[in-house]
Amino acid sequence: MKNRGGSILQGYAFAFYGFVYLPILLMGLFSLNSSNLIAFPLTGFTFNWYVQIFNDGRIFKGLLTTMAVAIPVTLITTVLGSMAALVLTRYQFRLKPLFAALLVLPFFVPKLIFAIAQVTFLNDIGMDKGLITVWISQSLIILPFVTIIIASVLYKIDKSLEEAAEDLGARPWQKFRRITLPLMKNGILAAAFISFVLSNAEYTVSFFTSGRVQPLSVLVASDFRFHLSPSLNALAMLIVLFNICIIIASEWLRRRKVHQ
Amino acid sequence: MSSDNSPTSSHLLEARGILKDYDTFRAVHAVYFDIPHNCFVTILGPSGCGKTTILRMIGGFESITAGSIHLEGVPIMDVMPYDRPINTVFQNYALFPHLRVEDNVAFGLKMRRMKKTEIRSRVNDALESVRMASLARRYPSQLSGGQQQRVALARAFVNEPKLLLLDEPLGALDLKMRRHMQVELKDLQKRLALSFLYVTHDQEEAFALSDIIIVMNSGRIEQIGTPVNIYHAPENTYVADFIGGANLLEGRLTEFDSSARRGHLETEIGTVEAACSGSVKPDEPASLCFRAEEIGVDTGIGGDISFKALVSHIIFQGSSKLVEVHTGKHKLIAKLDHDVPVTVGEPIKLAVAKAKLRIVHGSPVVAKEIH
Repeated sequence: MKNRGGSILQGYAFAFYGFVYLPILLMGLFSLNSSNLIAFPLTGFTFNWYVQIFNDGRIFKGLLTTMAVAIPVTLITTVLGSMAALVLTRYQFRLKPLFAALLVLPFFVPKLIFAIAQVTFLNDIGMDKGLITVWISQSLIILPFVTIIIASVLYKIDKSLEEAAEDLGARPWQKFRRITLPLMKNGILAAAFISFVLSNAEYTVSFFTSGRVQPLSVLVASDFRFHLSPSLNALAMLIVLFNICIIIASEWLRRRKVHQ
Repeated sequence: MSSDNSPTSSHLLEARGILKDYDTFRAVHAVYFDIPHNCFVTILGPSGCGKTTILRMIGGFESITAGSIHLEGVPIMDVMPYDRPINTVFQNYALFPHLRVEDNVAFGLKMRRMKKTEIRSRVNDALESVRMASLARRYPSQLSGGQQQRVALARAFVNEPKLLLLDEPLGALDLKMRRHMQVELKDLQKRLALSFLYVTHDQEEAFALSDIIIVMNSGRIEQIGTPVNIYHAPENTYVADFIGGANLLEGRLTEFDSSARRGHLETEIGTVEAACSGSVKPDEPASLCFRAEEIGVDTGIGGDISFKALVSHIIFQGSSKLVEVHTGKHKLIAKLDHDVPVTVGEPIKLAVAKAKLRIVHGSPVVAKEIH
């Protein structure tokens, strides 16, 4: 019985990973296939689609827009997320459960509804769609992730270290600057990387709030609908590889001890 | 007790009726004690007795619900931890993992904006005195438990506090290391001519180190005294039992002279006349107290009180043996020489010198077992 259960679990695991990774592998395969059609049989090996991407000015502009979104969003969410995480882990107050609940609530609001609400609200207060509106709406979506990552690092910091700092004469700011901040540094960096990746990959909210400044995600989505080409596979592969590198770097940072 | 707000005595620290409530739980009941200058004071008690809470209140990490703490006559209840001239050695050392040994030790001096050259020489002296100067460039994770312990000590006393608080600092070390560090600690305290307030649940450690021991139990102070005083003149059955497990026989006080502090106690082994501890009161429970090593085999010499008992257990201890005996409803433990003939199940005639007997407050806490 146990054996059968085991093999069912094993099959399930293979199926799961298959559904996740086979499409990406296929994408990688077609990005190197010389045919115009994204379909079997394979016709030959080429790097042309990649060359095409690097020569496409529109894509390059989209990439610049993506950076113009991701870098400020990363900064905003990391700073605000650090502050929220500090409040969550270091202060006791009556409304703390409410504070924590409101912080993670965006997780549970469907993105489409969130995006439409954002657009309506930003319109009502007279803000034109553009970079700033994307910064605001993306930051709101990403902030809970960042806060939770940083809070998880803060929870693990031994409270007696901060008490020891106080005991040795450190005032609240000195305590933060000399002890808490260095100890949470890796967590902040890890959260920043994740924030950057999430911002790059964000589509729904960006689509609604970006207006004419289209980041790569919005650009790629519209291309998939209107001019499907294997060069999009190449672009997608580049994005996937880039994000994987960033995630690996962030995990490495998060797990790294403050000092080994 | 005096609740005077301007103490005039020469004590370093005076705790007056300090009390700590957590929601509905009272962790510390209004306790009073003093810490003299240049003195090793230990708070001794089982876990959860409130001893660490007291330490944290003095360090400034817990607010006090009521009462007052004066340091050199100045109230410090509203002084933040970083402004108190008190330093702490934490239970888990709490060394800063991202700073080298020398920077850990320099931390307090840097906070006080001392000159760099001065910091360097002071840090070096402090590390010398705990024999850690050669490892100054290491990080805490590269040190053994005993070495971390020494750095934590140096980091605290380099600031020249008026009082050093130590929260079970040897708890994480193995037995051999602990013995070694006990000697070093005592040595250091004498050399620095500084008062230590030490918290432990280990009575042997408390005896080895302390000038004064404060025995605590469930948020209350049971007795304050020198180790000798605590061992030979326990106030009540709790202290008598907690410290070295004295023999206790419940009795009824038939006569009591409150000025001479002597009384007559009616017990299973007869009515005895003995000195009473300060807390003994007529019409309150009282017990007869004597140590296992104070019992001998009855030789018929006067000045002793003798009694018959039934041997129930013998534990060989080399030059001596612990013998568990029953007298009616009480179980007693006698420490006898190894060559005294004793047989399990046989009656034996034992004796205690009358001068060694003491009447203490309370009933025996629990049935005693040979340890």
